[in-house]
Amino acid sequence: MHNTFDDFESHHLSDGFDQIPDDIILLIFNKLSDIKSLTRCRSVTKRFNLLVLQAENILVKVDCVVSSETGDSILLHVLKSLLQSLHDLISPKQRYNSSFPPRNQSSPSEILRDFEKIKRLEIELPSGDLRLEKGIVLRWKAEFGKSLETCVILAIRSIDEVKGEDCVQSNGDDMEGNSGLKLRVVWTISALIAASTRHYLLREVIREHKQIEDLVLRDREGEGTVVMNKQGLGEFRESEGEGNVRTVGWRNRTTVPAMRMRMRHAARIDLPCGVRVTGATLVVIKPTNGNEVMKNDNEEQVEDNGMALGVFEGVFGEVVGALLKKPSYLLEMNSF
Amino acid sequence: MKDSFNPSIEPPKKTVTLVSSDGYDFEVEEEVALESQVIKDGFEDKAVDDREYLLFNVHSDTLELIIKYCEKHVSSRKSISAAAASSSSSNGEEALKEWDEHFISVDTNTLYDILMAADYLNIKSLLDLAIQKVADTIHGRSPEQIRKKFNIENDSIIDPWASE
Repeated sequence: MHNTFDDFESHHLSDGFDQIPDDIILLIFNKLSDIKSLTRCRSVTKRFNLLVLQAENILVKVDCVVSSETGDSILLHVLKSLLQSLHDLISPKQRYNSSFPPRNQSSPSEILRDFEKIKRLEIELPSGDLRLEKGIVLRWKAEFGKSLETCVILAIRSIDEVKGEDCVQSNGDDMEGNSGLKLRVVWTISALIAASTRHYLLREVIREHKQIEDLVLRDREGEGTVVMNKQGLGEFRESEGEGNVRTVGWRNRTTVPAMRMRMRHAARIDLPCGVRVTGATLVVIKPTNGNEVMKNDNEEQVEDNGMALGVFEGVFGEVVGALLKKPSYLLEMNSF
Repeated sequence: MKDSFNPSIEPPKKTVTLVSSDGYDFEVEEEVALESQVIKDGFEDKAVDDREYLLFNVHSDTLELIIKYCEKHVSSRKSISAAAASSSSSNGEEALKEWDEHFISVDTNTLYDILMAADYLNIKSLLDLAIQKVADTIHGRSPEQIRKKFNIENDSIIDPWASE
């Protein structure tokens, strides 16, 4: 009796799933987007396997914990965390190696190889690349085509909640001066190196998945985001083979073009929401195209401000808003 | 025409009749029926006394749920915009989200039925809700667990996860 009921029930239900049309199942897979879940779905049924590979939205979450040894240089950390990320992309699979022929999976593009319809790809690294002193917050967002197109960087030395009477004016402790500026330039360069290294990491994926229109590479800590839109991706694909790569030691990254940076700094900002940030720096970066018609400074400034707005959310967005009211200064940097 | 110029006469609520695949009539307010894009398209071209829709693909059990969903969304939208107009704070959006979450927490069969009906009637928010629910159910489960959850027969040749 019990068995009969079960049989009836399961038969009835399996009809249920079969009647769902392909396009709805595809909508479900696109919503799911997570590569691990999608990969698991491949072995549910033949139909699932066929449909999963049509997915257009994919999110690759790279799991790993990056050990942070003290004393390493920033560059070494960038390198380490990227290698670690790649390693960990493949390691969750290793326990299945007995049933799968061992494949030399060494990059995101290997894992994504069978997915041929990807339009929107998001890759999430487990952590940021820059290991800064404790308390320092660094956020950057860079847009790339064949090389860097824009980059907005926000650095904050400390961020605290202010309690009522704590608002004692202590303007005197701005020990920034020259060393402060140097530090800010170092942060900026570190962020640019991290961005161009991440961009380099994407080249294989872009080459193999020609339908991608929207590509995001970010990290779970929210430190840095590389964005490539349809136009940027097109530009990148056209420029393939132009040798736009810089190798430093044994590490590759995309060459950072000559840049113009607009920097703003505030020793202290008290936000209306009761948050105090100290040592806040905003840098808006654009390549200097030699043949570009000189715009007047006002126009440039308006354009730069427009770029910075809306890049960061929440408190960081408010900090950007406050910094934009401060005077700015321009720096130029050679390609590196 | 005369009615609309006479403010003392409240216009009667316009209704539409929806007929389920098993032959039950559901009389619903026009604005509730219009949540369905399929009904909305070409609605104006239909004669007022011909506003009856035979829904071949929707069983009465499912139709009842769909109507409940649409009614809730129509009335919530009204109260949310009313609260916004009087600039009084409301957690209408939050409450509706919670209601949705509760609404879609149904057994697998009902979920399929809602999914299919939302697609057939083209009710986008409901389709999104149902799709999200299925996606959440798949997320983090092994193939075997997915088969079990959705009662899908295994026809896969390779199944490296079978031992899980």
